[in-house]
This record gives sequence, C-alpha cells and structure tokens, in this order.
Amino acid sequence: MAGQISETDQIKQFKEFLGTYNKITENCFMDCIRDFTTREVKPEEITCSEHCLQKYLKMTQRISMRFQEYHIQQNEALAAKAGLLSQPR
Amino acid sequence: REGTVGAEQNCCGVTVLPRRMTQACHLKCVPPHYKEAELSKGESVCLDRCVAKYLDVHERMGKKLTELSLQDEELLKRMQQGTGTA
Repeated sequence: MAGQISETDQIKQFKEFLGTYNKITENCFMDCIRDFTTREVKPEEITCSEHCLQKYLKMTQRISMRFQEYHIQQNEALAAKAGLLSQPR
Repeated sequence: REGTVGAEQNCCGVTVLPRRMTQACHLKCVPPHYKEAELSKGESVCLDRCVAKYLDVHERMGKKLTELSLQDEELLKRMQQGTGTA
C-alpha cells in the first residue's frame, strides 16, 4: 500500500494546519497580550503564549481522542445492530 | 482510488463538528490563565465530559430537527391537499 497522500489531501491538510495556526495565534493573543504601553512583547506574555499554545494543542489532541472513541463506539453499536438484523445463512 | 475516506470527511460535517466542539469545550473548560503548559486534572476531566455532552446534544438536536421538519412537511402537504380539493 502506497503511503502517498494525494495532492488534494495534502492541500486540505495544509489548509487545516493554517486554520489551526491562525486560530491559536488569535486565541493566545487575546488571552495573553494585555500590555499595549509598549511594542515589545513582555516576558510574561511570551511565557503565557507558549503555555497557551502547548495547552491548546494538548486540548485538541484530547478532544480528538475522545471524539474518535465516540465514533468507534457508534460503529460498534451499528455493527451490532446490523449483526442482529441480518440472518446468517 | 476514489477516496472513500475523503468523501466521509466532506460529508455530514465531520470536520465542522469537531471544530465547533473544540471551540465550545475550550471556552467551557480551559480558563485563560496559562500558568502551566499542561492540562490540569480538572480541565482534562471537564474536556472528556464536555465532548460526551456535546455529542449527545448534537445527536438529540439532529433527531428533533428531523422530527420537526417532517412535521412541517406533513403540514404543508395537508394544506396543499386542502386547497387542491377546494
């Protein structure tokens, strides 16, 4: 099985990545950057945004995991139903 | 070669649902403090529960919406039949 991803899929993945990237930036900017008396990003703001990024990624991973678990459960339930309905010959 | 996986991803909001759920649970469970990079135990548990609840609500909404739109269709049909025979 070729491990090649089609070009359209690659583009989709990249778009997804860009979306996430921009979302995180906006999010962490809103939450962490509060001091506009200076153009410099303060050390506390840097630490905050780094933590924010890491936390956000961990959060999305966890949500992803639970979501997949849910899907697996759903599929198993459906399969069980299908198994009950179809009479094996 | 026709990507069945690709079709699944496009169909039925498989990408929209997780995105909105992530947003919602982020707001509900992760306060914007960021003293640490790790998710706290409380935040993790909240996220798990949030996902479960969100998906439950999503399913219920879907069923109810279908029910309501079927009712609307029925009503429309009856109205049209009424004016037809009149």
